[in-house]
Amino acid sequence: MVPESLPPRRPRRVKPAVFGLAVVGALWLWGLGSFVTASGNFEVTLPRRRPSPDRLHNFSLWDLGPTVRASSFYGDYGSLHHPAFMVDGLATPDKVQKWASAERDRHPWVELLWREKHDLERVVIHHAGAVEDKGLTANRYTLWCLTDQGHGPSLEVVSNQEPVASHDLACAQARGLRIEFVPKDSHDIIRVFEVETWGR
Amino acid sequence: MNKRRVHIALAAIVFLGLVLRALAVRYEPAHHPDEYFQYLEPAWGRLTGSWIETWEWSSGVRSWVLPGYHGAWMAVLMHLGVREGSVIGRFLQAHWALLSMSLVWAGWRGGVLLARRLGHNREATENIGDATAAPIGWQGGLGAALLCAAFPLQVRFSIHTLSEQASILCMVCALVLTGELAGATGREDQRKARKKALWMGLLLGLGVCLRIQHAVVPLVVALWLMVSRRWWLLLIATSASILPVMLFGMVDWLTWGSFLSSYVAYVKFNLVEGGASIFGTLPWKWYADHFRERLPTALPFLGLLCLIGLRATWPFVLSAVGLTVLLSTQPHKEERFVMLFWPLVLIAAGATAGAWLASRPPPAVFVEGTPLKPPRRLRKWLVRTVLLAGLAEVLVDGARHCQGNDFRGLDTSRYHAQAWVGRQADVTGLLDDLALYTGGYMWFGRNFPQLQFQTDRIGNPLFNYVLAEHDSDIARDAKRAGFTEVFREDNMVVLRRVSPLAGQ
Repeated sequence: MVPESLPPRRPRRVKPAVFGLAVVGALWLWGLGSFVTASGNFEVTLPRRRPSPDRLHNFSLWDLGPTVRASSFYGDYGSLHHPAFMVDGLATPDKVQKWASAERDRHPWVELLWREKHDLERVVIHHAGAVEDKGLTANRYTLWCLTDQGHGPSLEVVSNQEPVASHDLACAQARGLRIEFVPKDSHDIIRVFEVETWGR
Repeated sequence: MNKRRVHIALAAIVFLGLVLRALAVRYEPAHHPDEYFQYLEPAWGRLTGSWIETWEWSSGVRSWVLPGYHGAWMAVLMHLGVREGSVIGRFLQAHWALLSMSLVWAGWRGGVLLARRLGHNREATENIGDATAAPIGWQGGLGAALLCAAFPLQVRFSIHTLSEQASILCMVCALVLTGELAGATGREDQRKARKKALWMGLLLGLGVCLRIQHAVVPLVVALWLMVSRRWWLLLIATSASILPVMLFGMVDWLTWGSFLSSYVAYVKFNLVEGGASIFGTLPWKWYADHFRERLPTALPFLGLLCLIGLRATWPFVLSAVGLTVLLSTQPHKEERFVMLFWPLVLIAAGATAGAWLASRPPPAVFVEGTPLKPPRRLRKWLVRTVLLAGLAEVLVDGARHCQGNDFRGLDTSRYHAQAWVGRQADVTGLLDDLALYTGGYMWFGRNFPQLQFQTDRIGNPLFNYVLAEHDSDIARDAKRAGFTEVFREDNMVVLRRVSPLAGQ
């Protein structure tokens, strides 16, 4: 026999513990999304210790408070090749105090950003060959001047052999410099001891 | 016993476990550099771009799953504004301590189950007709839960962000679920059993993927289900266990380039090539000796209880012994590898003790409601006193001998000092005395260079802080170079550059 009317259905109550777990789980999943999509790129801004002089100078030097960005760095605990070593003012330190890209970084790049605009005239790069084996010097790379509008003038270097390479790159009102390297093969890592950006 | 009283006792045990774990979060020193460099530092590096990469990560012998799990929490905390690595690290340690409370759950459920099987009424699951009565075997449940909540070595280990810790939780819970499945009867139970088998399989798969050496437990689980003729449940569990394997395999494929590649590399290095031997070798009986060092007086009592209850507790005991034997065959030994031994043995012993506490004289001489004659009553109380004293001795002896860890020289004050430097506004670089004995970039919390101290590196203007032992050559060299002491904790000092370098 079918009853005339069914009793009203009671709404299902979600247990507080289940609700709490669902919230925690959702939060964690959101964090996982952030973790997976993180770029893994490096960035550090050094504190400023002195103002920029008006004369010709290297405005990437550490005590002028530049921001150093890099695609990666070689982080072995015994020989940590930190990107900030590119602006420490020491062109020929021990072999550890240089920037080296991570082993699996196939598109290594670095950026030096300055606290104010400068008229860039010349870029000097102290490659690995200045301190180590000359064969470790990077041969192919592109220098990009960074401006408020994005990329400014650029210079493509295709067969550098100089351990200390000086490149003229005129760029007015520059905010920074980006260097994109091309590794020689799939095992190559990029090694740079110092990057100097000269101008006013 | 009234069900309510048992629940109050269980709540008290849970509270005790929480308090002890809170103390561990506050005071427990680092156990091994791996807890930072293998499972936290890679995640920190992914989010900040700065990390110290150990050889395991450059060689691809680690899975990204556990760092990914930690990394998700790190990302959440960073979005909430927590940027200090040491604070995030503490959160993750507290999180594992909280998760380790699942061992108390496993102790309770496993203890009840095993004590019931050891008791005189092993087929009963409830006190029929009395809804307020405690479940049969509650004594074993409380005994095992208490040991899991308060065993000092277990409490200490609960905060460490190591793969062993995560795997232990999976394995112990899975073994308890297996016990429930092995005893499941009736149509209602079968429905629940299939669900439990699914969870059990997931936990076993996850546990093995996290710590491959724990594979002994799934073998015992399979044996237990086969002996109990639970073929269908074994099939469900086996199928479910493949899911975590697929997950880990896919993550390896995405991160290292091929399916399960980190496992292949790990097994090849550690088990096939014996590569772990370069980190030191120890005699085959080292684990057995180590157990005796941890519980010099109470270990025989634990062993005796395990033997007495072997009829019911054999899967727990076999897993613990099997793990120890397997690990003893490996030349490189560390205490953390064998930590799964303890909760398995504690549950087995706690359950057996509980079953004895609950035991009554044979029915032929015992009539319900009739007081026991004095000699029998005396014997009963004597047995109970010995059992309770023995359980107390396990905890006391464990507390007296729980100090020390695998990696001697890990100084808590060094971690504190490193985190202190990371909080300084003017820091641009840190020279430390032992890079592997710090918390890496995560504990530093800043993206500036960190290198091991060498006298000529002091000439780099970026390095304006030095971390070293008080009265060490490093501290003296730093002072000569114009550094002065600005922080001290125990034997560790931090020195800051006060005199500018020549030419500045």
